[in-house]
Amino acid sequence: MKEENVIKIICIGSPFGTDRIGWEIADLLEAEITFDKDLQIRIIKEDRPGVGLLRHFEGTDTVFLIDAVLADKPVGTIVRLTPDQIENIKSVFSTHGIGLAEAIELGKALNVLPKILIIYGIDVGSLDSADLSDAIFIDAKQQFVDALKQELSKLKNG
Amino acid sequence: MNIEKKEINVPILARVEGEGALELEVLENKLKSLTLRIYEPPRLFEQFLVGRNYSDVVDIVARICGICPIAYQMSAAHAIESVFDIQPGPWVREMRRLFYCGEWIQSHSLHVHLLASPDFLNFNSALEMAKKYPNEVTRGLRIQELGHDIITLLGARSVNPVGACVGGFYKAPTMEEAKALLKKLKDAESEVADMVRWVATLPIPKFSHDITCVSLRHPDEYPFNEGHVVSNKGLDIPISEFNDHFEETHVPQSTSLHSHLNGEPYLVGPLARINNNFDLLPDKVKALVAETGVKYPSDNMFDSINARAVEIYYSVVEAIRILENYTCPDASRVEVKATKAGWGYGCTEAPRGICWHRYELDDAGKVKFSQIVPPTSQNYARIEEDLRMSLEELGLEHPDDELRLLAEMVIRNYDPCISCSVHFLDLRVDRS
Repeated sequence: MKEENVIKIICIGSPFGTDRIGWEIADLLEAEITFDKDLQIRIIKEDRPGVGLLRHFEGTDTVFLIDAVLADKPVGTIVRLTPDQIENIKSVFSTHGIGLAEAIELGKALNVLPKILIIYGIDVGSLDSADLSDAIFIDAKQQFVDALKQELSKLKNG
Repeated sequence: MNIEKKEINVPILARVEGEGALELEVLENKLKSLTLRIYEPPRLFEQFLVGRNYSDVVDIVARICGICPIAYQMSAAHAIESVFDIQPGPWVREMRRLFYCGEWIQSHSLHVHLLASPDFLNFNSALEMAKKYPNEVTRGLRIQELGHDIITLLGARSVNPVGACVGGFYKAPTMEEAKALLKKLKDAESEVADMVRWVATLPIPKFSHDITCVSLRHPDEYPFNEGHVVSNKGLDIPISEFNDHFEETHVPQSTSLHSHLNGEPYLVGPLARINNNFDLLPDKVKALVAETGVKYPSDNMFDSINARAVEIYYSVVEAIRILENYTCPDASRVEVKATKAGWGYGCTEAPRGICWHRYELDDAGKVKFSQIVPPTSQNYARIEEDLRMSLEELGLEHPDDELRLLAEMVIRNYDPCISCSVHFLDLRVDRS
């Protein structure tokens, strides 16, 4: 299987509060996504990768990025974005001011983004007031897994 | 008589880690006051450690910084080992040097390519620079990745690595892993040397300051983990005597402590390190430096970017040396067989300068007291001194925007990690 045929699902998180949701979604996806010979899926957990995110784009045509975001939406809202919409979101955590949006903007400037790059964000609102065991997040995580399954199904069916 | 008074404010510093601000008060084109405000909340890590078992310390202190966790891990491990009289042996010693090579490569590459270079090439951001200099930025990211690869080899992951422990490492890399990384490093060596040549062509400002440079110095090697604390002005002390010469004080405008050496500001970090240890670099590295025309010791703070570039190259050369001699050990760590009470000291060279730790442990190996002196807090007094000297040298009659730009460049040049020290820039100049 050529690397460009591998679909990467990169789940970004950190140990801090609701920012952890990307990792929890990765665990759910591992359990729920059916692997078959038509789709080679690689699920990757990353901890605030900064510009290191770009290394995952090398030689791959399709990438889904999942991260906790602050998008001024109700807590638990799932947002689906393409790279040209990325300035609308803000990562919860970053290092040296280089979060998901900045890394993608740098990828655009360097022309290294994959052909298909879809960013899924879950608005986690205030870190202080939210807990991932809240029903709203349990529901959001499942909605997210279902949305990913649909995306993969579309890719499989061409 | 009209007296011109102005204030310049930089309310948020960009392209540094953490949050701070700068306020200047200018009266008749003379600097009346300069305040570097560090308002990031205190981190309180030293107190978190009290009551914890010695074995927790290395993992907890790694969380102080996402960019230089290894520095904190290494200083803590050495300090605790000194309490227990543990000698981890030559294999661990070499792997710790290799681990540190990874941290210098990734941290310095980030600063050189994404944080500092845009200043010297007149870009507002790394994104703007990447459009005009895609090859250089892409090369920088490739080099940074080498650092991540080294850290992952020994730390299991590149952010907040978990492989290090008191006594050594939880797991030794396999021969195959070591060989694969060695090949990557050898393949990259010539482009890293090209990066050093490119950095030396950047149009950096020329300022000359009398700088007190403080670093570790080891008799036989460019320092990472071991050595005396030395300065270019005659200081030469064992690390245990740090508190006898260096003083940390609270200042009203900052949640970070400020440090002085015998009452004076001092510099730690790559320029201080290379100024104090240039003779210890391998001939190959010295030859490359000679080719670039940059001379060390340098009294131009802006040569810090050149020092960082040279240290990236050195780290690649050193990592190759270590991996060429790599063998799998019988054990990747020395077990702690018995705890005992006592004081321990650790001081290692973080990318930004010496990172000094002191711990008191009880009989059971629990932390009774801890003191952590990160590099950035040691540089604050020197940054303020540099700002005063550089802004006055430029001339305070210049427009606020020019003053603001120079002030930001001066601060970024230190690659300050404010998050580590609290324990960016919003500039305000008052000319009213």
